[in-house]
Amino acid sequence: MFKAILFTQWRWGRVLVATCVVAGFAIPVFSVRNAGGGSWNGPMWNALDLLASMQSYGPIYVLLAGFAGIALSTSAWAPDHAGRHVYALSLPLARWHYVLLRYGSGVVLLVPVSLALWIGALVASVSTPLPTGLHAYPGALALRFALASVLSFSVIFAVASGTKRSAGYALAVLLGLVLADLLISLFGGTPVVIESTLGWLFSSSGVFGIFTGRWMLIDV
Amino acid sequence: MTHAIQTRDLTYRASKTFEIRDLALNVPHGSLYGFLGPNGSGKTTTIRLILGLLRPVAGSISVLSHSIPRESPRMLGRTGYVPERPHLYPMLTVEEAMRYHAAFYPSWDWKWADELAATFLLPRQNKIGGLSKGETGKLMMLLALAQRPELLVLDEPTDGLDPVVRRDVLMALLDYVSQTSATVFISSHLVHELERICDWVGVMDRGWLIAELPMQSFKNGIKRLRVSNAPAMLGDAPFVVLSREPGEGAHELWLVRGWQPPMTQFFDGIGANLREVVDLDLEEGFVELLRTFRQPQS
Amino acid sequence: MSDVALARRRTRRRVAALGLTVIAGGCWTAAWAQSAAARADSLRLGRASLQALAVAFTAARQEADRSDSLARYRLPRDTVRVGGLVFRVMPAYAPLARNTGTISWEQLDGMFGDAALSLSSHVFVLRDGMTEINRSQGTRTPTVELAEVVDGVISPKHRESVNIAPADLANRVTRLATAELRARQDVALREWLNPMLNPSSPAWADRERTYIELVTADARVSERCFVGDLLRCRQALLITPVADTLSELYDAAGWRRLVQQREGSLRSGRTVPDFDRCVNDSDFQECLALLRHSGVPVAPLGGAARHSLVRTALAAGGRGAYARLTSSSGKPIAERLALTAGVPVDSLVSMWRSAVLAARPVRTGVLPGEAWLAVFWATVLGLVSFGSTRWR
Repeated sequence: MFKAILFTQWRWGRVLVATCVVAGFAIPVFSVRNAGGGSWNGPMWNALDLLASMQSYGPIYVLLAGFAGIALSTSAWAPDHAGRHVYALSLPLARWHYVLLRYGSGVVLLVPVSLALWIGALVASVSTPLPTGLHAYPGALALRFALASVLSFSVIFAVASGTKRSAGYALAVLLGLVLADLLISLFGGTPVVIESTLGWLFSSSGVFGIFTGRWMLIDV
Repeated sequence: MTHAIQTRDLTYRASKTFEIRDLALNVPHGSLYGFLGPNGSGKTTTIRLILGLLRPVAGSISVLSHSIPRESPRMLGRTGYVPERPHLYPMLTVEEAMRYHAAFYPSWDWKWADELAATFLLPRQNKIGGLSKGETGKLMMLLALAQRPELLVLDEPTDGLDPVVRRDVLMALLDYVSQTSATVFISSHLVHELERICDWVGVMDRGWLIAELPMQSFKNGIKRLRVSNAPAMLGDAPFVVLSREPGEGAHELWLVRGWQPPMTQFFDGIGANLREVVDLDLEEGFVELLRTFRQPQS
Repeated sequence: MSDVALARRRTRRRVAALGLTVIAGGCWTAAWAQSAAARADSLRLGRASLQALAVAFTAARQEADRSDSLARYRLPRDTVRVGGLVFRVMPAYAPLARNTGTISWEQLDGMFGDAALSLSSHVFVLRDGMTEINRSQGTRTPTVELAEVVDGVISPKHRESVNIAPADLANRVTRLATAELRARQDVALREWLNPMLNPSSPAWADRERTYIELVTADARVSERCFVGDLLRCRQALLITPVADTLSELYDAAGWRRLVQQREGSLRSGRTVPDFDRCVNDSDFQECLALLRHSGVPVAPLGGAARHSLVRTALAAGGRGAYARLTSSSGKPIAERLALTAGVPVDSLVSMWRSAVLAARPVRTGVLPGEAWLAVFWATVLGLVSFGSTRWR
C-alpha cells in the first residue's frame, strides 16, 4: 500500500521534487563558486567577506526548505481535495492509516532533496580549499535543511488534511490575534500580540526554532 | 431473511433544508436492490452513510454484518463502490489506476481485470483525465468488479453513458452476479433499467424511504382504478389507497397498492362500482407513487 | 500675536535704538574732537564709550539672533527630556519622543557615560515633514532635526525624514548624537577609531566579528594574538607602533594573500606582470614590492576589533571614561586607552582578548535540543493530521 501511495505522490509531485533536488544541489555549489564575486580563489578569500557571502545564502536555504515542504504537502492532498476525498475514503483502510501513508510518502519524497543538498554542499566544500580558521559544515546544513523541510511539510500537511472546519479554526486563531492587537492599539497600547506570537514561534523553543539557527555551509 | 445492508432509525442532517429521517432500509443478501428516487431525494447521501463516508446523527447501520461507521474499513474491503461521479486521480494512467487500486484489495483478480479491460476496450496507457465519460464509467466498474466484492454499491453507474456502454457495463455486472452470490445495491433514476435487472426496489423522496418491496409486488401491486358512486368514507379496504382524484363525470380515479383481483368484492360491499383496473408499468407506478407522496395530507 | 513675533518686534526696536545711539555718539565725538587741547582725553573717553556701545550692541545682536532662530525654526512647543537628550516636539509626537529617548539614551549613556550629558546643549526637533514621494498621498512623515544650542542660539546641524517606529528613530538620534560627540575627538583618535563608534550596535556583535577576524586573519600577528601573545594583540590593534607593518606583522604567504585580495587595484596596466609573478610564481619579494609601491593601508584587524577594545576600556573605566579618552589628546593611543580604562594597557588588552574569545559564534551544527524539538513538533503536527475526520 505504501508503495502505491508513494508512487501516486511521486507522479503528481515529481516535477516539484526534481526542481527542489536540482536547487538543493545547485545552491551550495553556486554559493561557494559565487563567493568573493565569483573569483573562485579559495584560500585567498577574505574570510569575513566569505562568511558574509555564506550568510547571505542562509535565507535561500530557508526558503527552499519551506517551499519544498509546503509544495509537497499541498501536492500530497490536492488530488484528494479535488475529488472531495471520496476515492480516498472509500478505500478499505482507516483514515489515520491513509493519512499516515500519505505523510510517510511526503517525508520520503523530501529525502532526495535533503540528500541533493548534502551532496551539493559536500562537492562545494571539498572542491575548494578554505581560508585558515574556516570549516565547511555540509552535514549540519543538510540535517538542518531536512528537519526544516519536514517541519514545514508537517504544518501544511496538518492544515490540509483537516476539514474546512479545522481550517476555519486556524483562520479564527489568526483573526483573533489580529483583533487582539487592534483592540490594544484602540485603547492606546502597543500592539504586541502578533509580534510576541511570531517571536515565540521562531524562538529557539518555538515550533519553527530550527529555521532560526545558522544556515552556513562555511563557518568558523 | 438475512440482510446485506440494514439501517434502523437512521438520521442525517445534510443541511438546514434537507435531512434523512428514520431511514429503515433492508437489503436482502444476494439481491439486486434498485434504489430509486428523483434527483436530490437523498440516494447518494444514503449510500455515503452506508459506506461510512458520512457519520449519521442517529440510528444504526449494518453492512455485511459490520457496524458502520466503526467497522467501515473492514466492510469496504469486501465492497465494490462505483460513485456517482468518478473521483479517480486524473494524472494516473488506466494501468496505474488498476495497480493503485489493486494494492488495497487482497482479493483483487488480475486475470479478470485484464479480461474486463480487454472487453471494455480500455486504453491502458492513457491517462484517466483524457478518457471519455464512457471509458471512465467502464474503468470504475472494472475496479469495483475486479476486487471480487461480496457487495456492490453502485451510485448511478450508467448515468450519462451511451446505450452501448451501458449495456457493456450491465452485462459485466450481471455476469459477475450470476457467478457469485454478491449483493448489488444500485441507485438510479433510470427506472426502466432497474425494472429489467432488479428483484427488490426501494424508493426515496425528500429524505424519506417511501416504499421498499420486491420488484414483482411493486410492478403488480400498484394499479389505477376507475370507480363510480364511491362513498366518502371507505372503512377497512383490503388494499392501500394512495390517492383519490375526480375523473370524468361521476367517476373517480384511485391509485392503490397491494391490489389483488378478488378484491373487486369490496366495492359491492360499499355500494360502489369498479369500472376499470389499469396496469401501471414501474415508471408509471414510480411517478404515481411520488405524486401521491408529495400531495398535501388532507 | 505670538511670543515669537513679539520678541522679534522688540529686538528690532532695540537694534534701531542702538544704531541711533551709535550714530549720535559718533557725531558727538567728532564735534568734540574739534578741540585740539582736549583731543587725547576725548579720544580715551570716546574709546571707552564705543567699547560700552559695542558690548551693548553684541548683547542686542545675541538677543536678536535668539529670537530670530526661534522664529526661523518655529520650534514645536513641547519639550521632552530623557537623560541628557532634549526633544522639542509637536504634542502628537511626545510619546514617540519619550520612547525614542529612552532607547537612545540607554545606548548613549551606556557607551559615553557622563560625556553624554553634554548633549543637553542640543535639541532634537521632531515634527511633521512632507516628502516629495508621499505628498501625493497626503501622508505625513516625521522629520528629526539636530540643532545645536550655543548660548541660547539654535543653529541647524542636520535634518532627515524618519520612519515612525521608535527603534528606527532612536537609531537616527543615537547616530546624530554620536557624530556630535565624535566631533570633539582629536584627529589622532578619530583616525585610529575610524569608522565611528556605533552605540546602537550591540557590543557582542563587534566582539563576534573580531573573533572571526582573529581566527581567519591573514596576518601572522593575529594568529599569535589569538593564542595569547598580548604584544602581538597590541600590534594587531595598531596601538603599539610597528616600524614596518608588512614585514613585522605578515609573513611571505600573507603578502601574497594581501596582493591577491587586492587584485582589483593591484593588477592593472603596468603592474600585471608584477602581480602575476607574485600570485602565480609565488615571488614573495615581488608581492612585498607591490604592496609597498601601492601604499595600500594594511591593518591586521579591522574597525570592529578597535571598537571592541574601546568599548572594553569604556566599560572598565566607568562613567568618566569617555571624557578621559577625549581629554588626553597628544598622548599615544595605548596610554590614552589605559587612562580611559583605569588599568594598565596589557590588562586592558587581556580583558579584551578574553571577551573576544568568549564571543565565539554559535556553531553551525544542529544542536541535539534543536533537532529533537523539530522532530517533536513534526510528530505533534503529524498526530494532529492523523486525527483528520471523514466529513463529520
